[in-house]
Amino acid sequence: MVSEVQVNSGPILRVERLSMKFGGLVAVNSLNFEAKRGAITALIGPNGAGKTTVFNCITGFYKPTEGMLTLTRQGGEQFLLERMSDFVITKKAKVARTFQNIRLFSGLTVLENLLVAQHNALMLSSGFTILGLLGLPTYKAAAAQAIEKARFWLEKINLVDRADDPAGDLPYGAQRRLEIARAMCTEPELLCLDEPAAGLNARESAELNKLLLDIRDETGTSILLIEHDMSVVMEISDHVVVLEYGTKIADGTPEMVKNDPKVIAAYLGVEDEEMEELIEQAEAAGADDITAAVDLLSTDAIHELEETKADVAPVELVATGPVAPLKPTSPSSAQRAAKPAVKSAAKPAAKRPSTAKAPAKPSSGAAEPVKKGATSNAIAAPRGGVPDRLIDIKGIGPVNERKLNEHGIYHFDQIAAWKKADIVAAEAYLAFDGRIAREDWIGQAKKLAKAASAKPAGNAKPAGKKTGGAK
Amino acid sequence: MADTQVSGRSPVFAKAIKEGFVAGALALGLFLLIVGFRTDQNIRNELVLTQRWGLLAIFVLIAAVGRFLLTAYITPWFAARSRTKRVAAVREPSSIRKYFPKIGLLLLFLYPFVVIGVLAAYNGSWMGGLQGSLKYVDNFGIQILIYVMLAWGLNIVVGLAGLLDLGYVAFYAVGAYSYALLSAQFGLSFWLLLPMAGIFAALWGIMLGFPVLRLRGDYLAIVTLAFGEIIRLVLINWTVVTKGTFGISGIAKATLFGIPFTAGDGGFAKTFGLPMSGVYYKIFLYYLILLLALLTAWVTIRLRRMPIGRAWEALREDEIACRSLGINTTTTKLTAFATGAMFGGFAGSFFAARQGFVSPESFVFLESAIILAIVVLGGMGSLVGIAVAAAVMIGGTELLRELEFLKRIFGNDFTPELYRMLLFGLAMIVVMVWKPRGFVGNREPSAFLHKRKMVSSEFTKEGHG
Repeated sequence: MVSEVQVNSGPILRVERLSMKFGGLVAVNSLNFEAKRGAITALIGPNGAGKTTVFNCITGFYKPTEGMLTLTRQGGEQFLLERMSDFVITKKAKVARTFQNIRLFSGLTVLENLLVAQHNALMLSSGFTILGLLGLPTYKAAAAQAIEKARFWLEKINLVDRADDPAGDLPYGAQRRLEIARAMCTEPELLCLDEPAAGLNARESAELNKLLLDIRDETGTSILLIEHDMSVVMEISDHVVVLEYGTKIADGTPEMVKNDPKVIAAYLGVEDEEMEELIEQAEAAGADDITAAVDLLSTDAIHELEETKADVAPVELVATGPVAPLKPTSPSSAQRAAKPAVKSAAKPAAKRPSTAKAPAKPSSGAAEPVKKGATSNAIAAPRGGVPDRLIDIKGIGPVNERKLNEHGIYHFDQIAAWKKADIVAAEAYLAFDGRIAREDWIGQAKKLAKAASAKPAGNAKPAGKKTGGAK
Repeated sequence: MADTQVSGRSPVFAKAIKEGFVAGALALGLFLLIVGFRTDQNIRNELVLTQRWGLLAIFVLIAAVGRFLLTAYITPWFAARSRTKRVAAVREPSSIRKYFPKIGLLLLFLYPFVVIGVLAAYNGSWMGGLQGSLKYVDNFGIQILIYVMLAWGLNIVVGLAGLLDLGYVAFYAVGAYSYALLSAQFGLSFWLLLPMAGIFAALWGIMLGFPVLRLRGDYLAIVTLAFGEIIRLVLINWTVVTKGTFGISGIAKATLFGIPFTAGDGGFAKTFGLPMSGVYYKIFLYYLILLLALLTAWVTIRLRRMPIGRAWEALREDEIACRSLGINTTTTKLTAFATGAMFGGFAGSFFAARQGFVSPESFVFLESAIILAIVVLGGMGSLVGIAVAAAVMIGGTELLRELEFLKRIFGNDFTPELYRMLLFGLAMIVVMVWKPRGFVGNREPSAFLHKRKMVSSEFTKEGHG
């Protein structure tokens, strides 16, 4: 997948403990992720999750409240983006971006738009205008070269015929492509695209996929992408980071991410009342796993879904949906993921930010590798591939840690989110009686989870915390 | 077409009559008390009510007939015209339009001689022609060209970079006072002080630019307005240097490469064996300002094809996008300010040399407003449009001084000069209604791949400051 031109194999962009606060509102909270060189990294999440804020921090339009953004260029030069102003980031660190609402120079022609993007190179060759004004041949050659480069990108985006028309006169899809071409004319090493497929039809977003893959493979440019259109994200991205309420909730390959119950819950949302109902039912039934209760409840939900057929959005998210008739990367996995998604979709009002509480995450999608009798919030693999050191909790030794891992418990926040039924279930497979409560595992786990999220290398935040919602 | 007109005639007519009556009734209601009655004081200080039915009838008739004509004829005529125009829009521009800049340039170079020739033929003598041409070369030619140059300079700031500058006259003042003071103090020549005045003005442009760069739109406009006033007030109050409101007089005249325009030996007339006349200096000044204006135009045209010019226009379109492309908007704005100010400074030093006298009176806010009005009226960014607008605005106001014939209509106690500004304001309103984006709203692209197509004004933006 990674282009051969690459020499430097380290990550192009490392985001560490990035926080952005607007007054009391925490838009991004201690975010950590890496964008691999020569790869397409997608940043997804529900509306208001803080994706564009992350972009604005990376491209210097916002100064982050905390955190470190390290960009390593091909040659090994390192830039701390949080210390640079926006235009210097493009000029020196070679990061280019596009905007969620298209920002073309609508009164300039398509060609001129691409020439403006080559401003810095042309400024040099025109001797900061003075030599160019005197009509020196070096500038003429450079200008001709700039036009050739523009022509190259116009051919790539199929707009050569319209080169002399005003950019504002182009149809919407062409404007999106032109914005990408304009960003590419700055010769970036990292290209940040803010919802490039927004407002495109299926054919146009397929063209966009091809263009982005071309850019990655031919120029070796790394791409960071915000996108809601899952047909684009799942098809082309090499790595996906999921944000919710400014916190990373998942990070991995598209396959991993779309099967992550947290992601599904974040996108689909579970109603508060239903949550309480679920817990009550589970407690009444004395079940050690509320999955059964979820199933029970969601049969109704499925009927509702079929009857109303309202938004097919919840299914579209994971199953590459009816909006984009593109082949999903692996249909079987998509279907598998779709099932639990529908089940847990109590209401088809999906795009609303989730009010879910952590233990309600359906586990069936990921439950296969987990042993029977697992607690409700078991996951198939540790997030980010690194489990927390559960032995830090007093009372858990290496043996118990292994047992917990076998039952899908890897992180402090999972233990922290345990409910009564979960404790019963866990004590069953740990062969403990009452020790969990006595030693206050949950309390300890909560503290540790908090500490872990504050550390630079820390993993995701405690899942139970996000019920607070956006302030 | 013919069918629709025949069938459409009578309903339009009926509608027009109806609307005419309504307008007449409205006018009657409105003007009955305002025009129909008038209160006067007689000698015994009594209030007397005079009735003016005739005048009222005229007002009502004008409203009714005007409305009728508008609905019945003028509106359908405009509709038909715009319909044919839409079809014709695809055609190539006519050859007059295509060659307008070249023809205009040729006329500008010939203008003084044409004027002299015509007037000589009219008066029957060369001297008569020479003396008579003074007014046309000076009041019309030089005056208009100064404003053309100022407007072309401001066009860089407002038209290209989209930064609304209401204090442009400050740079004009800086240029004028630079020349006046330096030539009086050090006796430096015009040709040395001309570039220096430009450089000083550019420095002032940068000094103004730095603090106001973070401002946009209305705020920028207000701060530049304040800057213009500050410069003027400094000129008034710093009496030690500027002599305050008395101004600086006796400023050295410009010379033609060392040949002064004086009456004595070694003067221009003697050197070339010509009869003595003050008009030579005016003609010299005319060509000087023409060349300076053309320098402004040439630099503007060249700069538009440079990366900096494109960055200015991109800045006008979208500043945030500019920053995302690695363009330093601060220096880009500063260069626009400085370049515009430099031409203002050139024009200022020329102004001082021409007048021989400068005082703060010449640099009031109205000057800034007129220069800005010329830029807006001509079409922001268009050199030809701005030149035409300057000719119309400045030449128009000068022409309106010659409204002596109105005295024959309204009697001898009528002073036509007083109506000059009223007519002028009306004309501006009419032009802005008729052409909201100025005389030439279209934008010429700076580069093209296949064919140079004008960019319609509906896509270009005015900038946000």
